[in-house]
Amino acid sequence: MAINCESKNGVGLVTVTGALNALVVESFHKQFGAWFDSQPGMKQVVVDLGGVGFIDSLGLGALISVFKRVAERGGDMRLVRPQQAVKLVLEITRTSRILHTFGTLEEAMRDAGC
Amino acid sequence: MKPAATKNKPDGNISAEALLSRFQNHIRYTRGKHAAGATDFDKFASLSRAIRDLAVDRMLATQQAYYDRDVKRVYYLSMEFLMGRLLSNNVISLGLRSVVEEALGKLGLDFERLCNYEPDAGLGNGGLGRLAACYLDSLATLEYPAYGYGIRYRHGMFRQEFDNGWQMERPDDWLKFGNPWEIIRPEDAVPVLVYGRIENLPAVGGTPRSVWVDWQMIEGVPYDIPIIGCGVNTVNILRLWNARAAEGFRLDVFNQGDYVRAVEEKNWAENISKVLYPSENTHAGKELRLIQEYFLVACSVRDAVRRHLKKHDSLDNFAEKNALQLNDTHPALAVAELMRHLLDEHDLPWERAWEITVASLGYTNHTLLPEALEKWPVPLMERVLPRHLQIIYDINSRFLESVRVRYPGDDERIRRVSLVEESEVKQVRMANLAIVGSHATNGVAQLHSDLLKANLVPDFAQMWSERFSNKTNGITQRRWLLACNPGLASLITECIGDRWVRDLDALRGLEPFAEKEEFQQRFLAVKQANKQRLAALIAERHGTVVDPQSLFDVHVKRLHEYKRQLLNALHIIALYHRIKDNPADDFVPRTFIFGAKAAPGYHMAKRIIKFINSIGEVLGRDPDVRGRIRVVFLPDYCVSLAEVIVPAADLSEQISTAGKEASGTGNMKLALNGALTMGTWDGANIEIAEAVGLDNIFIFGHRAEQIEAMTRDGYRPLEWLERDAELRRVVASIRQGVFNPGVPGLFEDILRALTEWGDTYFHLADFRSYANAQQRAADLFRDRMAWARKVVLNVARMGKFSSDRSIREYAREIWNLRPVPVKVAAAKSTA
Repeated sequence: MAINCESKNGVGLVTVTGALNALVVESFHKQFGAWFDSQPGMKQVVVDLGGVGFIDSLGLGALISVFKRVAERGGDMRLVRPQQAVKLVLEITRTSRILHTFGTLEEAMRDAGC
Repeated sequence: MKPAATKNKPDGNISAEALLSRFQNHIRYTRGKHAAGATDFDKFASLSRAIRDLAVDRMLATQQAYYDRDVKRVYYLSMEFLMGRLLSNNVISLGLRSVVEEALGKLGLDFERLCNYEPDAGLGNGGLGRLAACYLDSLATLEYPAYGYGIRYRHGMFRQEFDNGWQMERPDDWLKFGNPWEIIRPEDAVPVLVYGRIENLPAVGGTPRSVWVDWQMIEGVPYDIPIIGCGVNTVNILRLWNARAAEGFRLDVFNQGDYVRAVEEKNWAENISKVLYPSENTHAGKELRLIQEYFLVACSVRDAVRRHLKKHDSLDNFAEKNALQLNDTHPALAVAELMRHLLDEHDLPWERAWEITVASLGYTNHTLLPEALEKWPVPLMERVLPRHLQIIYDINSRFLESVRVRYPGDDERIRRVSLVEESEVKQVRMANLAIVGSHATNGVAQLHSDLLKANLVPDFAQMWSERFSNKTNGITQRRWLLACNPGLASLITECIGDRWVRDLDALRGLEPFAEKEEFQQRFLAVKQANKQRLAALIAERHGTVVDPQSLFDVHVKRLHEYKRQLLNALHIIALYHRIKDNPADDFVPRTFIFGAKAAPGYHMAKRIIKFINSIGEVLGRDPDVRGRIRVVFLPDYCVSLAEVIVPAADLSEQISTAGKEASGTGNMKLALNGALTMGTWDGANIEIAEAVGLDNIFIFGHRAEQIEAMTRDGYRPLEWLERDAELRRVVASIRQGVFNPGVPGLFEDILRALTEWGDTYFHLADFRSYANAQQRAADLFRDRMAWARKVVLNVARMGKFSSDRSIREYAREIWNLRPVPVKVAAAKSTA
């Protein structure tokens, strides 16, 4: 798993590649947490899941914890380009009803105000 | 003897030479053997593959036709499919029996011999699972767009052995050498989530939301088995789900360095489809069973939804294009699962989701035993399926509100119909869920349907009388006459043609033959040949020589007290005493043939098996009895064994306590194959009696309402014992240890069950009536032509009991389904 966090016109873009599962959640939390803490004004976050082929419950938990942290700041989080297997998990768990999901990065960024 | 050929032939038959070439190719390229080194199993598997290839062409064409024509489909969800062997039936369905025999003949191979190498697919306990298999056959033969959904158990119904007369259970390993019929589809694997909890998240835009977290994912991998319609091009699919651990299953445990535990957890996921639960009629609290049931439902509903969305943009018209039939209460979670799909994955409003769910689902009830109506403890369901429990609570809340409006102030009614039982540990009532969530609920014989409405769920029947109906069970004549009894099938076809193969009512044409002595003689000759075949099997498997001229009195079915194998045993003892008292008398020689498995945890049932085996031993040793009574308990009763026993039976024991057997289908199989029924006023026996006429059946015993009255007024078995000297002597001989020499008290529990424990199943009350009916049967058996006449009339009047009739009723009255004839053409990509 690789995670890249960057700011684009005030919107946080988190790009994840590889499996988002129990083996990598600790690293995910650390890297995202460190970056998010360094961006105190960041209220809108887009997570690009286009490179994630598999997600387990801990991986999903990691996404939800990102959402909670963003929500604590009064912001919102969006997901973009989930692959079919990941999309299915988001739907079954009802995560897709909370985290708005977009088909393209452009749409998500635009919705986030970028 | 060859079975009757059918005039209806599917398109595109194959020559013997071409089939032989395919067979030889499979030996070489599928089995990887030289012809000279191929074992008999290799030959069976290669022939099966060659036949499967022919079926696959039709299967592809069938699926394409369903897709192109956007037809309505039915999905039959069943935890059990007791398929038995497939090769012989598939060859007959394709109209290839003579082609196969000619092809194999060129190599000096015998078709029937190869068929015997096929292990039974024993993915069921008894009637319910075999019914599902018969219905698949009828659905395909009648050209209905249908899919069976079940579980690919690694170990089906246990193998039964006897050790000193006691049942021993051994694992069934039917997949040990592979299954040539199945097509694995790993690319269509579906995720199934279990465990976890519902977590509320911060409100965004003012709406609080919750998600399902901390779940575990398993995957269902489909294995498809072609279901070949007889004499048509339709080939439907039985899709069996195999559980496997999803990628990353319990990676958290792996990550903690506990490799062994992690592998155990992974194996646990795979255990979900590992073993068929033996029927104990209740699996309360067994977590793996709950997960199995959900696994079937989750995989099947997702598959049906996926197929629908290939042709449609939404699920709004799901009920117009799909019917899901629940074969008993086990798949009742389909109500909550379909709701979950519609609400959570497709964002439909509750009211619309509920309309679609109820319109899509139908529920078949299979039992009147209250203990068999599944209930799951709420804490267990909350742990395993937290989201589903929420949905069930929501369904219940809305449902109970509607009941309150209709019956204001009737709190007792609310308590009875609630989906949740307010016991010490709350329980979810799965039958209530199935009834509330389905537009149709049916019983499986008229009496059963009546009692279902009157006694089991009267509140629901009162609220929704239009939802309740009867669909009397049926059997497929393709397996249970054409394939298993080729001699009789040929004789019938010779006399009246082969229309009966696809229209069992055509057997009516046999009635005039019942009066013709020549036909009676030929009929009896066929029966005699079948009895000789069974006698040879008994000698081989049981080591007992039986007389094929004797009356074959057959009692084959699951072992349960309500089915009253014990009543049969009491009568055998009575006959034994009569022979001992008057050894010079002329008794009708009888062979009592039993076949039955007892659930491993059902101690009384296992003791009854031991008891019958002990009676057989004692009688077998007694020189006074020799040549008059033989008692044979054949081990490991299964479909393929039934296919030998059923054609050979003279008398069919259907002697359940009235009001206990939902329908029975063994009664139909045996009557169709020329056995007279010795039956109580129970289940489908009543309808068989109506069909064949009371002169042509031995009906005895108390009726259901009399049993009910005795129960209500206080049944006192000792009074029945007191007034019947022969019965007293039977009981006394058991008490004296006649059948358990050297092991005092061995059958004490059986005696207590009959007397001081209240004789729950009314053996003593029905004994005299049973013994008298048995005497009438013996008297009639002496007059061979009179016997033959009644038997032929039975066969001629069995048309109603074809599963084709049952399926047409389901299709017309519950599923709103139409036949879809299929032309075989070049198959394109399919659904």
